[in-house]
Amino acid sequence: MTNTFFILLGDRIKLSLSSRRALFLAAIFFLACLLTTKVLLRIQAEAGTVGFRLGLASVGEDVPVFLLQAPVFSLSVFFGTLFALPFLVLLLRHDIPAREMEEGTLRFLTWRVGRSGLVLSRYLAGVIEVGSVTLSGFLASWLWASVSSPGLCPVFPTLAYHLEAWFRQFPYLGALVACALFLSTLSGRSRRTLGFIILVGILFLVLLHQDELAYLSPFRVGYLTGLFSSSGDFLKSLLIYLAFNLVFVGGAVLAMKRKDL
Amino acid sequence: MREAALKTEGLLKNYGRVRALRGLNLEVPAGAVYGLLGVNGAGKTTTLGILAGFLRPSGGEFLVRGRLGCLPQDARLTPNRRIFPQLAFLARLSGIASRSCPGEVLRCLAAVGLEEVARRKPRQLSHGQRRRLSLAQALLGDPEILLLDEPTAGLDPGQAAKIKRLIFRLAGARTVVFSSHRLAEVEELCEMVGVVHEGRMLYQGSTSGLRGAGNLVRYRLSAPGRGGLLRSLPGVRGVRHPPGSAWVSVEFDSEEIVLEELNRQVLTLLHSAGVGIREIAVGGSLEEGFLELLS
Repeated sequence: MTNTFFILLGDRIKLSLSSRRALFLAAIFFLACLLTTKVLLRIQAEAGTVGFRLGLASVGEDVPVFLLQAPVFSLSVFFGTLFALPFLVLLLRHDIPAREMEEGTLRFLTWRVGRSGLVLSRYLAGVIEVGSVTLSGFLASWLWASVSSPGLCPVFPTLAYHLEAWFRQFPYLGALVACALFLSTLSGRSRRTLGFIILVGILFLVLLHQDELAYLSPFRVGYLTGLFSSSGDFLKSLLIYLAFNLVFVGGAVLAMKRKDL
Repeated sequence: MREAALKTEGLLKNYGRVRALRGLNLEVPAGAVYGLLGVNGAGKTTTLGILAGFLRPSGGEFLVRGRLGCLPQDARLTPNRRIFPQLAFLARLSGIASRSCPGEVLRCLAAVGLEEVARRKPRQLSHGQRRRLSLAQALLGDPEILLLDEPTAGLDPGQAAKIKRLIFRLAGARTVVFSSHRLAEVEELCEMVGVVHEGRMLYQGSTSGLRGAGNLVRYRLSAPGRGGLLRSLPGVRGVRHPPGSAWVSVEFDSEEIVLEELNRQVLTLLHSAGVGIREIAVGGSLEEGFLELLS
């Protein structure tokens, strides 16, 4: 990696973290986590352990141990991450680098840096941006849980649990960012990218319901929950999501190399 | 012959079914100020885009020898981000050490007369200022080769004059290639020109060569309609009088008659016919040469 790559990356991260859009979405994400928490608390009050109540045990024998034992607040941010993340990525990342192509700002970079560096810096910055937004949701939710229900959520075990859950969702997060990056690079137009992402999302959901092709969908329940298990399923899920990352980032690099900017 | 700083061989570019470049050959010697001419859609912007790396050629080869700076035609800096950090970021990418970036940014802004806007955002600037700002980013890092796509387009005469002075100062020390529709500007600044037409290089050589300076002389006459008299002189191959113009162009055979002798005979002939000569210019205008080449 050259020095220019890190300059590019640093600039993108600075831009991402200072954008109003990221702050706004972090707040929305936090509110979504709180809402889920309230719903899960009600389930817990009526039916005992939330994980069992939600049928997570049926996913696989060794998969949901992490989930079944999770404090209710952690479970809420876990669900928040899994289901809100695609929308977060959609809203945060769909126009990168498509908007830069539309505005022509990328033209100022092409003779200064390589195109692969451009794509990779945007991918890493995207992961850091969305990771920061989800982390803020996890931490805010933990803080709220610790203050409002100290008996139910002991401070340090809950914090450790939240941080582990946040760390474990990274391969999934990366795959979503990479997918948005690939589609944005391919289309070169931010509005068109939104359409592409929605179509691809529908495709993944359709694949989910085709038994023989379900393994192609990153939304497959087994993969998602596998990331939160500690047995063989974790490794399988990890590899699958890393493969998705690789394929989408590789596709974005190839698309960028062939693109007229 | 100086070494080529930029060279293309058989450059091809297709946009779908449209063939923008059809085997373009270009060679720009190091240190030259080179004007790229052509009508709209001729392929000038595509050529510069390929050399700068933001367009991909469909075929052919190109060579860029030296560090590049480029002013693309339609590109602009991010509208809502302050100018200074944007230029500092681009300066760092151009290889400037971070501690030297502020000085470099101010130097380039001063070169285009925009020192006072460093803290503003591009969206707060006028069109002309944004154009000069784009030029400032091209100067970052003191590149050896500058590609400028219509640098004075949309600028008022005062701003255009500033840009011309800047290009003039760079001449010799830097290789400058610029495209323009203002032929007088090209004539003034460029020692070499290339005329691109329908994706091919129609003419490449000295500016005086395109003006026909070796075998063309123009006379501004008191009665230009009588310029046809000059056809009878020995060595004269043709006489043109564009309608509405006070100038008469005389094309002559330089092997048959030298310029001084031709002028003497023209003076004698016109004096005897009672026609006055108000001005003499050696060579045609670049516009005439350009239009004649295209026709």
